[in-house]
Amino acid sequence: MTPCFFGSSERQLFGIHHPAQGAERSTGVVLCYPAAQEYMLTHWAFRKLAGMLAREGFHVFRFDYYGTGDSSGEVHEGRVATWVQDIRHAANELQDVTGVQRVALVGLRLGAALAVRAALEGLSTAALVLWEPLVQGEAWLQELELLQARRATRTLFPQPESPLEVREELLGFEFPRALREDILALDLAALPAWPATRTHLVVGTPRPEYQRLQERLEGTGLPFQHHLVPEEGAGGQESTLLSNRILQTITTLLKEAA
Amino acid sequence: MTRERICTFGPEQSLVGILTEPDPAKVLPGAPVVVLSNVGLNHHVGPYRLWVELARQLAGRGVTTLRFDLSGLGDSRPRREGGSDEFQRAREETRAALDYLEQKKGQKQFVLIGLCSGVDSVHAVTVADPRVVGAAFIDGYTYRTLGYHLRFHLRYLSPRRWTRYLRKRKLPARLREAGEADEVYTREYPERSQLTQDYKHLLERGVSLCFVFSGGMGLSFNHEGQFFEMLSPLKLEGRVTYAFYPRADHLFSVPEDRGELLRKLTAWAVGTVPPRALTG
Repeated sequence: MTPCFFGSSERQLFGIHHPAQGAERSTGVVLCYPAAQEYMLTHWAFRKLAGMLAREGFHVFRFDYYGTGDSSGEVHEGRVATWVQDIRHAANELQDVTGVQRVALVGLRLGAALAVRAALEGLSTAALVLWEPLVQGEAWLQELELLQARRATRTLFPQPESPLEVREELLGFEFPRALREDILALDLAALPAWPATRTHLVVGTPRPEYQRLQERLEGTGLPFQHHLVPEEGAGGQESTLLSNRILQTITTLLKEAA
Repeated sequence: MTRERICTFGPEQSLVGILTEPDPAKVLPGAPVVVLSNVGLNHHVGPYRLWVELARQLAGRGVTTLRFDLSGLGDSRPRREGGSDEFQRAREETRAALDYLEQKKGQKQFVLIGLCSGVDSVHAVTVADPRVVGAAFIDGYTYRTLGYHLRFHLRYLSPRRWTRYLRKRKLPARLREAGEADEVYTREYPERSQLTQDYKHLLERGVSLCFVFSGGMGLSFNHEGQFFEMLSPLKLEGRVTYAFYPRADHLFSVPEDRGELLRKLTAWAVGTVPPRALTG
């Protein structure tokens, strides 16, 4: 693992390069974290996935978006367009450092939606792996709002109930209105165009929104694969996010595609 | 301008951390370096980015901070050597961080801050290493006292508890119990007599101590006076920095609660600088 800061000095981003072990592949992998609380819960899984891919000969790069983790910026400065741009910078960094010719993007939850946006906006992509993706921003926000309600039941001093756009906080992270608007505008299943690359949808449990996305992708005529990987453990969001079987599936499918 | 740089150090060069340094023009003379590491399995960024925000706030006040991952956690590699005793490794690696800062930066005084399980190595290293001049323990060791037991048995008379119960009933069934298990924190604490001795020695050594408790420790800590009660032979009132935030959860997940904690820790850390150094 080689940590680094990249980007401009005023806007430095933190990344970790996992060098390829053994025979190097010409395709590198950029991992796109989810946001906010999901980032905290899954950091370990990403480190593990990066190690698994590196052992298969991939140069792997994972990084913190602006305003998150060790990158510069404040949490409240987070915006979808900024984070999409960060993915492009990360892909360039990986190519500059390693010389890989092509880059595949693996994104979890919001990271998956950002990866699609980055590819649509011109980032040449060898493959897209959408891992439990945020398909529709509104549904994602509703899901997290339920977890927020659960948090309120665990304290004797809950905050007064108020809508997200007023309280501007989601599961412990500042969540300004502008970011909420950005998220609400996301709907992968309604995108008029799709990046011209192979797409993999990797999920632990079937959901109507994944079905919608699958239909949309099948309609594009572009190469597409759906991988249903039943979750381990007691179930629930946390165990899905940390499923080792999903990490293995992602490693195998990238290996076969490269 | 605050500068952040990556450090690799320690046994087998396995440890990775971020050093946050203040603008050279704003360095607080004589300030010890603050050292932070993992909270449970959270990486060096800290839960809800707590350590990043603390490091940047401290830099704004002229104080340098190192936040790092213990081996095998976050962005630090596991060590090949080092044995299977996790606690022993954490102590060695925390001291390795101090050695690194002493060798590379010429720093001779340090402040350690730990939250939850992180308190174990902070306590052990503070006791053993005279370079540590300040230590903060967030949701650290607690012992049930008479006052605790009285409040515990009266808890069903609390309207807040009944309101919480009713709120919980409104949640979808699948969410009601999910994730409850991960909110139970069980660790082995030192004997109270040993801890009392340790704090006595630290105070005699002139170490600045800060104790913070959240409302998330309800099963073992339930009122403001419990801290002084559980260590009553030491008569700690006025001798240490202390705060109890009953509204906050264990990881200070609500931004306002976190803001309070950050202000408290920053003021305390800046306050560990000897007056002579401040006046120059």
